[in-house]
Amino acid sequence: MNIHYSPRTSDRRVAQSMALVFLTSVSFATFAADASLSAGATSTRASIKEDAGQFARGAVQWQQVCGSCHNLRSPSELTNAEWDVAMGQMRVRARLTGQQARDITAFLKASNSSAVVPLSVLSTEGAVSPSADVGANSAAVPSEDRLAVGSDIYHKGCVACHGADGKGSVPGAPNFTDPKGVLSQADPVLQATIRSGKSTPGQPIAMPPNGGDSSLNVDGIESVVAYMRSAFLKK
Amino acid sequence: MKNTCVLAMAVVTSLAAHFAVAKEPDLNALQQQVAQLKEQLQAMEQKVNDAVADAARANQQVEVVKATVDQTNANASAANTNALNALNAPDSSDVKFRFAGGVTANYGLSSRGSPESPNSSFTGGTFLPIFLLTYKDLLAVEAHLEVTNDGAETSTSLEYAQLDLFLNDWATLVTGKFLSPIGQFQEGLHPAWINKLPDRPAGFVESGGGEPLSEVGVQLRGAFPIGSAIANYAIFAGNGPQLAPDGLSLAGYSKDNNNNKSFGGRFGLRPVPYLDFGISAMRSEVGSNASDVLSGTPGSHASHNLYDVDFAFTPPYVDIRGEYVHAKLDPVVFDDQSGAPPDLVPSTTWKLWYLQGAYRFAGISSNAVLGKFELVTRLSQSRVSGGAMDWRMFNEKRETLGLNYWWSPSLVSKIAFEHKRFENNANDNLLRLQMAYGF
Repeated sequence: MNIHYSPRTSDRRVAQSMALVFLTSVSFATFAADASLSAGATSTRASIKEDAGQFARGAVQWQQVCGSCHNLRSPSELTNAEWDVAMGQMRVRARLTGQQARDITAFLKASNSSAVVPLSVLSTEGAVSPSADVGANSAAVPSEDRLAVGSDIYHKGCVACHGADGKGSVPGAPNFTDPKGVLSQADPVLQATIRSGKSTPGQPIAMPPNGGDSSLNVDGIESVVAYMRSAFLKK
Repeated sequence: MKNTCVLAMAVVTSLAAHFAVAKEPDLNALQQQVAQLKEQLQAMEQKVNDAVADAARANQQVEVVKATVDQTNANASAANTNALNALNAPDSSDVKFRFAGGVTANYGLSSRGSPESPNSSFTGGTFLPIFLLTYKDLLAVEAHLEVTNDGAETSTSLEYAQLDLFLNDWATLVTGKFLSPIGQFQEGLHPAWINKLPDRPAGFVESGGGEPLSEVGVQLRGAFPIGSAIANYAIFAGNGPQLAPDGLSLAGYSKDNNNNKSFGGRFGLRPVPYLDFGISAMRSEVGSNASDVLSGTPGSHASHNLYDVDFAFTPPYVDIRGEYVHAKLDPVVFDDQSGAPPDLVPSTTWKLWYLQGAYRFAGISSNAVLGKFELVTRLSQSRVSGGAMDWRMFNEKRETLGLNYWWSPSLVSKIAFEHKRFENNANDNLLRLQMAYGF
């Protein structure tokens, strides 16, 4: 086979080589730029730490981005380490920013590995107890401080799926403004549901235990229930 | 007469007085009875109210017991997950591994059968293992095999094997054999547990001349915010396509047979949640497959240019998407490997498109079974002209209607009816069944 390199072919190869060099240069330039930033406080690579809104952002991105191509798997399908790996792949495949990938990973891991709640604690502290007075729903008016704490918890986490208006912003989320809806249940029932999570048959999204926030304690749950009643149920 | 009247009046007055005296005690008794009955009624009402309250309390207690059971189950699940996490790999591990992939099984019933292509077949049994690994937050490794069986032999191919180097939040350098970022179907939607129908859209095949499946080379890709929108990009250089006996093949080749690299990329934008637009382009120089053609002479190589636009609108329960591909290969000396002298074949043009819509019934029904059904329809067309082949035998319009049942988020049973209308061939009606699982 005879091969003759014409001037046109030679020029094309020079152009291709330059393009490859450019592509590689851009790659390492972006890496170098990020590395230089790492020395300062604004590092993107070094700033891999959880922030207050990460869980809520992750929940929204999980539903809006992941759900745009495939059904949403239960966070419990994979271990935390497997979610790390899966999200490494999906960061590339789903065209995510690094921050989006970290937010979604944080949401999935928080939803997946909520702290185990000893039932004895639940019953002794009155959060869940069949013998408790379950007929009344917070007869006492909650304090302003408790409502403020509940509002803070709600708007950092719950709002992602339940919406600022309490009417639900994702499939399967209940309407809190319905007087005969879920908020008509007794406080201990609501608190236990938040603790254990909630899955509605047929719906693609399930509420994770603790709403995905493993740091949420009994007091926080009581506060957020009080806030939801105050904010969404019209007297 | 007067005495008689007086007597009568006296009698009447006496009787009236008698009856008046006799009625007064009875009325009092009745009033007492009414009062007693009222008291009894109030007592009964109180008992009923108490019973209703007791029932409500009992229901609430049942709910609490249920919630306690749920909590117990959740605790058990969390403990199990935590134990698995501890056993498999701690979060602090630098290297993490995951084995993923999918398995599919198919059945097809065609109205246009032949001995070579039976009209009723179980096919598939395809195994698609994916090996994933991450090193810190710096590198991801992906390798995807495809193990298939054609009835006689089992074959294995490498769909992609790539290293993803995370340069920063907005850029990733990808090297190796990777899925082509052109368009949306091949890169994101072709796995069977994601594809909402058992078949691909017309023309969107793995190695044809329409949309490329994979590329071997280097790619820079990423995403970045623009206000509240998210933009994404991918640019690549690779070995490019090669001429094949049946035309052009865009399967990723691990060797460049003409030292000409292909260049391409995609720019996408998610302006609002659930909406995604993308435009793609790719340019290649394809060498002739004839062995005695001098480089630099007419037809020794040809330009191949491809353009693609795609969109997706995917609010909850809804999936609407589409894509259009236009590609053209300039005239090139082509050897059909039949022994006849190679010819300078005219340019070849590919025009492919599909439009697909799906709806999940969970949006209208809270029924646990009905909510897992999904209705899907797709229109697609593949039209190729020019080149060395008579494409009219293959040019088709395809209409597909399917119904899916999602046993779980990644386990699906599909049934679909396809109507294929060919430009110069008999129409075909197909019934397709598929079971697919992604893990």
